[in-house]
Amino acid sequence: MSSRVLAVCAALSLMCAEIPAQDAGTAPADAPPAEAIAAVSAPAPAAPEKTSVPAAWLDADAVGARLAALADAHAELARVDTLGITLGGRPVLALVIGAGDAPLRDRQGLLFVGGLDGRRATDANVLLGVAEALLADATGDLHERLGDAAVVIVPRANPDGAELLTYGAAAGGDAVVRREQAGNGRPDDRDRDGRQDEDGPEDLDGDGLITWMAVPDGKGPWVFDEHDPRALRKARTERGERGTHRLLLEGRDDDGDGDENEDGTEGVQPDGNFPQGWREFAPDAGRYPLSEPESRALADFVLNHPRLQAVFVLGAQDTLVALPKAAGNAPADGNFSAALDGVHADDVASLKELQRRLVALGKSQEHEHAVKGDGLTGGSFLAWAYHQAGRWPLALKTWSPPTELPKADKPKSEGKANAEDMPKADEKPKDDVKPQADEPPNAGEKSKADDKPKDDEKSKADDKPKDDEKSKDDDKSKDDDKPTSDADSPAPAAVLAWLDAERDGAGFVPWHAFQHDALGPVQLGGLAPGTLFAASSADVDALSALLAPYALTLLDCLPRVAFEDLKVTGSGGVANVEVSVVNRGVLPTLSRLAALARLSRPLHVTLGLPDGATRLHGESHVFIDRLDGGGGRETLRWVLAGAPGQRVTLSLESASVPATNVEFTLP
Amino acid sequence: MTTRPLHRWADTLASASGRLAPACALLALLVAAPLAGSVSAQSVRTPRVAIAWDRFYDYDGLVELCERLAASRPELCTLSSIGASHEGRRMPLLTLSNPQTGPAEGKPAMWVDGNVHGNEVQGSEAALYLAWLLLERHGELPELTELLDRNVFYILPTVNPDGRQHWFDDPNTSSSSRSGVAPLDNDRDGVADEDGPDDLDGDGEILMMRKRVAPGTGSYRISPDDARVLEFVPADKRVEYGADYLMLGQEGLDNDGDGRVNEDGIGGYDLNRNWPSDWQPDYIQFGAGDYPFSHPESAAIGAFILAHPNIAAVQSFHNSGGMILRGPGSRAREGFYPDADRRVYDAIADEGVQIIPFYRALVIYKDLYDVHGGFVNWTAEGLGIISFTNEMWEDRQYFADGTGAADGGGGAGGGRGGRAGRNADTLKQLEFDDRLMFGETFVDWHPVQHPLYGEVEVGGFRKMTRRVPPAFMIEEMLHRNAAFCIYHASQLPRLSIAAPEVTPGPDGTQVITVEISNDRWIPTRTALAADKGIGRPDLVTLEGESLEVIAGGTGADLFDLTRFDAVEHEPARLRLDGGIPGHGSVRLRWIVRGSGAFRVRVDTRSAGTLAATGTL
Repeated sequence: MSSRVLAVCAALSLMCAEIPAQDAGTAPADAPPAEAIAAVSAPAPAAPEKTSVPAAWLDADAVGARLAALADAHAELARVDTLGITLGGRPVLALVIGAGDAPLRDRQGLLFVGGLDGRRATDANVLLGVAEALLADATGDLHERLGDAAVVIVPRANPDGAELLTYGAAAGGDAVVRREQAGNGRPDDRDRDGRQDEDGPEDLDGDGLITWMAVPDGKGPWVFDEHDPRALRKARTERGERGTHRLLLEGRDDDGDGDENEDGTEGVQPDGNFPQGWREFAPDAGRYPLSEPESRALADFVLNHPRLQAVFVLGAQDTLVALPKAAGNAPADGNFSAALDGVHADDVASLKELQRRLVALGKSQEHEHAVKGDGLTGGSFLAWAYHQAGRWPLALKTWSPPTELPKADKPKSEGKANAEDMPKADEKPKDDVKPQADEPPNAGEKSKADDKPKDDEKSKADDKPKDDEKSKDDDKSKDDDKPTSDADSPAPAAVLAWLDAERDGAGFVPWHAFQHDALGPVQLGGLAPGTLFAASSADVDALSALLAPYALTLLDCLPRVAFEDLKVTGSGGVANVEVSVVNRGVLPTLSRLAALARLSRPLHVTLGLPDGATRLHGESHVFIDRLDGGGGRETLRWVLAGAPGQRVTLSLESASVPATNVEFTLP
Repeated sequence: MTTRPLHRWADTLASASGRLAPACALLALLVAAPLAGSVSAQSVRTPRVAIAWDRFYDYDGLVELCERLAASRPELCTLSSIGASHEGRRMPLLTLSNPQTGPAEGKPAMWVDGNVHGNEVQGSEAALYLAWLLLERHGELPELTELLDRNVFYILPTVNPDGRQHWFDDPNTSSSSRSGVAPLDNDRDGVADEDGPDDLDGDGEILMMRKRVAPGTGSYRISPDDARVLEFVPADKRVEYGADYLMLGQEGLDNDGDGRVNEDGIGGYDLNRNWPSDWQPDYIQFGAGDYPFSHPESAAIGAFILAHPNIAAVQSFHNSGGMILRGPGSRAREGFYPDADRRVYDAIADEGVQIIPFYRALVIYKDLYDVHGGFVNWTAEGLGIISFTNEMWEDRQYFADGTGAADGGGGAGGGRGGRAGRNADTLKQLEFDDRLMFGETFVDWHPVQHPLYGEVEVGGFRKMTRRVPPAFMIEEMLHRNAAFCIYHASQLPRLSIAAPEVTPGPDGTQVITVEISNDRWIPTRTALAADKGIGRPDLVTLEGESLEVIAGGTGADLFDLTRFDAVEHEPARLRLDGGIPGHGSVRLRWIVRGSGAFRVRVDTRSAGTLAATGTL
């Protein structure tokens, strides 16, 4: 591993010199550099118009190379920063897009983050596409609309976790084995037996993938479906049917404790390691909040850049298809005794406007490439960014294969069009749309914290996308002539059917017999690692094409504060002064929560008087907690006395918006 | 008060288990040393390290004491640095351990710290006094010798060296400089620490400001009982009483010209709200910091404690109010103190209130206030360690008669109720100042020109009062609090293992039964640790060269050899998540085939390892 890490670092420092500018600059957004292609081993595409080609899996080298190529080709506008170094020695890379010399700390802007979950590797493809699309237009719209602002893109926040899927882990000799892993691989003792990481999965059949083992077991809950013998479903015990198999990840009971694969390299999930709603004692939440280099690096970066007012997370969560739940316990006076149990209602309203603008960009598209996800889940970066750093929490969940069979009255391909919560572009959003979220920030904290460490099988199944998991009625009215699709199956019939239709079956490893040294004859197979998280290249491209202009839209929405309507009247050096501080942006200067909870500083107006001049009325420092967007204003007044012609300065500064000032002379 | 044998927990060395034999030998050597000649004449005993315990030491003074202590008994004490503070001060840590009785990491350990709040200075001296007492008397007093031979002490005199030094160096009150000194923009105007209190008269103290106004227009009047005391007058009596004073708060200016006085002093956060368990952001828990361990001081301590799973007792020293506090810090965390653990807390705290008169055993959220993210909340609730905070010094100790002096200065204890009570407290404290301190602790009101308020009067109690005892009472406070630590440490788990019983089993098998006992209050694993799955369970392994382990488990019945809770896997390596309970034991049993010698090895995180052997 260390040689590969060195290679990453070397690639970062050498890319500028080694990649010809025209190669990187002219490459289309969906064509990664040669290194990236070499690292890709996703199933080969078949006929393009019929199949949904999974997006290329980019390993850390490839992500670094594409970022470096962009920075190299657009040196005036972009650079690559390292936010932190992972336990595996990989840099957490950020592409910083911004014109001019102003330090990033002083710029308003946006932060895009993907790949906090190691399994969601193709989210990096989307964000790299966004970066490439923005910079491809660098001389036009972007340049004009970017102004002094910045867009920061962290395509892969958990590179160690993703590497196990996109490249794999050395398995002796030349063998490399790939598997899914949400966490960052921090060594731990999941089974609390005094030994660390001693019982992870193994690639028993040597196919380079960790898949599943179906172990014949009359006490197990699973059966192979009679209508699609590749698919596994739960036995219908209510009909007297008994299970025939139990399921385990491919591997052995290395430590002889009776459990297979219960203490592997999962480590800590960075997206559960943030302090908001942190699940203390959950085995993947870390020993304390921000204990992990990935989460700590992101948190410090956000705290050090207070004007990056919106974070946009690509991952399991979503606040733009389904708006988050409005808090029911917001104090009016800022006197908090507990965290909000949702997003402040005023902030949901702002998110709704941002949702409307996203839909407007989508035009006739129905956002097939993004689906309803979780809300601001406990311990997540998104929840922390809103509740503790005072940033706008924007999130989309990239579409991936459906885990439910399509409804009978719809053609199969519509299985992916499930963004039912998002208004259509040509449809005016209803005013009474109720905010929704799958769970409030702290929901589930208790039950999860109380859980004992789960074995890999269970946690893996639990983490599967649940976008389509809604109608329990479907289970009851199963047609006996159709397969049954269980969302937590390692071979759900719906996914298999979809893979057949769209990917010529790629992404599924056919079950095959294997003689297990301890368990006897078993079947190995099931969904290949990453299949449920692999967006198609078409969806990746579509989402990139949507989010690049959306980034510009968001920049347009940021608060813009200025002095307006200055009136100075009077004579003989005595002046009545009136001026308004106005926000011409769409978003308020701070979220309601940020203002109430004092998560950022207020607008701070200072009256600068020349020597000898005095205040007869008004304060020398005025603080404005928050201004609404769309012309929200606060009018200030002073009575001043001095010599006619003396210059007076009003200056405004805050943590969240750029400073501005206005000058006048005493009449 | 009836006399109670406070040392009843201390077994004589004669009854100590066999594994302490090396300690006995060591003691014999020490008893023979010339120094021991003074043991019987305590009143004239010449200390190895002479330390004046009638004063408080600044940071350099603490470091020098640490160095002298470490140099005095290098065989028992090492001085290291756990990290550096915001301003770069090294944070000295004393490790007290006797390597001749085994390595430190293999023994139960107690963590002791003080002074997390910079102004709560006496916690440092209490921690140092404990170190001094143990080093001084090891080899002289069997109880303390055994304690240090068996256990390890990690003693960090100051958690907040910057706040401490600032409290000593700069004008302060008894309550200011509680924070660390990392800049924080408390008034959110874009500038940090620009408007703290000011020593207007240059006397090195931050006192109170009052202003005389026309009779009837003020809200206070001079107390008829004592001209130094201002008495609040209710609005309906002001004209009648001729109220002629306004209180203007602490000595200070509006340095930043924002119309507010003293609203953004140095620091302004709370290092004792920066710990991971039940941490809440600043808008819910004032002073919390950006996130848990966001300060270098807490981060260094957190890393050390996480790396030392042998720590099974924690004591943190604060002032004031005369309290022996345990968690939880908020009602929602009640479930983190299961009955079995509460019994341990109660047993130790009940001794504490005997050892330290006027102190009360209290629960933080019930009896004090809500604390989210406190240090002992983390060690108790996050790590499952029996943890106490002492709020040292109590008003009733002034006259030792059960009546108090002032606690209106912010002491955690809360004074008598209401303004009248506070006045009574102040009068009592002034009486103490007059009769016993001869005027040393109070600065008489004197006129000072203020740029905004005009002529004001400045006066009040000096910082070295109210929250800390007067010099002549310091040593007793330190000794009693150290004695409480020693009692707590004496209750660290002490294990013994009986010789294994071997009895014939069915079908040519043999049955091995062992009992592992703990004769102290603290279990090897608290009930909370077992409940939340904190840390590694205790492990018991059975090893032998020609041994086939057929079954094994816990809960071995005393009489029926076939009755025990057999485990399904790894019978030769049993995991005890509940550990070895306090004042209790666990009985383990194996059914084996084989012959010859075998060995039962107990491996705990908090109480080291021990083993017993037998023969089949």
